[in-house]
Amino acid sequence: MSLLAVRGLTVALPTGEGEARALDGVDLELAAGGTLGIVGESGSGKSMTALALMGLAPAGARIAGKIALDGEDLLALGEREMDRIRGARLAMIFQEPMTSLNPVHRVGQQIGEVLALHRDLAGGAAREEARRLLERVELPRPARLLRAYPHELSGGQRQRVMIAMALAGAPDLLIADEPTTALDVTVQERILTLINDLVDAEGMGLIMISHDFGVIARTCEAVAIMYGGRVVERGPVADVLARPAHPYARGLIEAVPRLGRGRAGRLATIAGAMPALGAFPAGCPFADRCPQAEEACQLQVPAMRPLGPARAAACHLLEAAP
Amino acid sequence: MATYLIRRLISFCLTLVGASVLIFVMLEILPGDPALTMLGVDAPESAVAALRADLGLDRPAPERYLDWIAGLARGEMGLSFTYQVPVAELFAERLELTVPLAFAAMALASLLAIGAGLYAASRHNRAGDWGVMTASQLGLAIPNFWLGILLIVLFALVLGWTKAGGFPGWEAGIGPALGALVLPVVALAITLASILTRVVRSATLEVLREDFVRTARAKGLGRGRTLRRHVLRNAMIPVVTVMGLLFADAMAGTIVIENVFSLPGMGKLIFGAISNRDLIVVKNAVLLLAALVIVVNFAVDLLYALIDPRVRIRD
Repeated sequence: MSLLAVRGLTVALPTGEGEARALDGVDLELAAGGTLGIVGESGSGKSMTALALMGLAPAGARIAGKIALDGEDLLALGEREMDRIRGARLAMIFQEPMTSLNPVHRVGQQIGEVLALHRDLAGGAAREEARRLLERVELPRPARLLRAYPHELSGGQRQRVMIAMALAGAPDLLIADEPTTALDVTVQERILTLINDLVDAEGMGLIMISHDFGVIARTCEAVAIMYGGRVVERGPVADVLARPAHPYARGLIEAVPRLGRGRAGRLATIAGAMPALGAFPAGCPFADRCPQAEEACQLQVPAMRPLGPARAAACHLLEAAP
Repeated sequence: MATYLIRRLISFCLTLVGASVLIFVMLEILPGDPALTMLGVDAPESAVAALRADLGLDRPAPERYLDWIAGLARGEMGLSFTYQVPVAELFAERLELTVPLAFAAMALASLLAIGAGLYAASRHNRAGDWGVMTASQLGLAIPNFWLGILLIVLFALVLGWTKAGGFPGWEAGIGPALGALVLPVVALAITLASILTRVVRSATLEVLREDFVRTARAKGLGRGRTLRRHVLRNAMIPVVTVMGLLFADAMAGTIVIENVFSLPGMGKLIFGAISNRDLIVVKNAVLLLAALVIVVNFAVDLLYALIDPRVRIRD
């Protein structure tokens, strides 16, 4: 059985005029210890997917579909039961390490909270475990850090503290939502290496969310590309990177800057911008920006089409191709 | 932290000096002869002149001001013109009532406001929020003296649970003394609580949008625990500021409430002193109230540093 199986996940948000679907029929699959990247622009629904998995979608959102963690449907659980899963079996780290820690509590307290909540540790035992966790995320002088406040740490150190907090509950699945976007390039690299090492060592599953294909390629085996609240292509990272099937996937991959391409190769871009929530075309969500769009694309939503083992894409143009 | 403390202490002293100068200028230098004010316009010229000499009004203003401050430093404020007793004695006796009254009203208001404000924020845009906001609107609209009268009518006259007013003194025992303060405290606290509830609610809503609240939920903390452990303390920063400011309102409120409930406190003393044109009492009483408000706000500045560790290094 897979660690995580998401089927037809749909999140409808209330807007000025009726509802808009931030997620529309998202399917995801992750084996125990597996790593899955979710790529897309802002507004593609990747962060909403993460929040929906955590059961933290915004108030007023209507959620449908199925999220099975080890076979247990999370959407069927009550608030209290979900509290027991969050932090213990599912953990999440966020994009903004500067604001994701509580400014008025010490680092030790914030890690200790998870230990008390999910592992029944308190006092000296909790302090010792928190110190070990800080060592685990390679922070120097952990005993001193426990007494520090977040404002006394750098961005990279705070993100390491966030990771230590996520590890504290010994989760089966770690969701990382753009964990390095707000950090310096050199720090990014080290944080990604750390996440990779920890996922391997602890045997955790990983969902890495990023707008940057490079980050996904470094950390994940499989990738799901999202656009307009839907998964438009999925497959093994190397495969998708080498032969993207969906025009949006091609655009995303071509838009990754590479060294040595020279001046001649100007950076490719995808024309236009992602429409606002609720303003997507009736057919394929990408139709308005797609260089190859045909009439059918405007009218009908393309279904996911298998393209070989573990590969699939949702594009009308794939019919014609062999 | 030390620089923060020193800065606060300096600004505390400067505010106190500023307040005393302002009071002195308003009461003794601005047009209008204090001696004439005290005796009334019909008083004979000789009596006014005698009082002027008695009060030292014939001396230059800076000298009089320094004399006043030097006297305060020795704990001497002079004799009350109407009561013919040392002003300091009068105050000591009255503060025993007014200070507990004001602080109890602030405490009750804070308790009500934090409870109601957190509740309203956690039920944002739902019935509970709407209910709290309506109640606070009502509390703001009702003047405290009117609420005081209503409370007297209901609890003293209709139900007969308490006396309509008066204060037996602390010598009568804690029970009866506190009993006499219940209605005045409630009447004073409702307006304060209504203002503060709105501040607590909006501060809480603000903090609820912060990223670290989402982190707390992601750790597995329930809504209630997140509110108590992560939201409340961060929301207290603006709330404590407003509490300090409201303390001035509470002190001003005691003047009205002590008259409604005929409690022999500072408020009633000031009210009487103004009617009797007892300049020495008015001058010192106003400075004392100002000093109390300044001390409370100094304490608030210190509280910031306790609540928010970032304040300790910011200055």
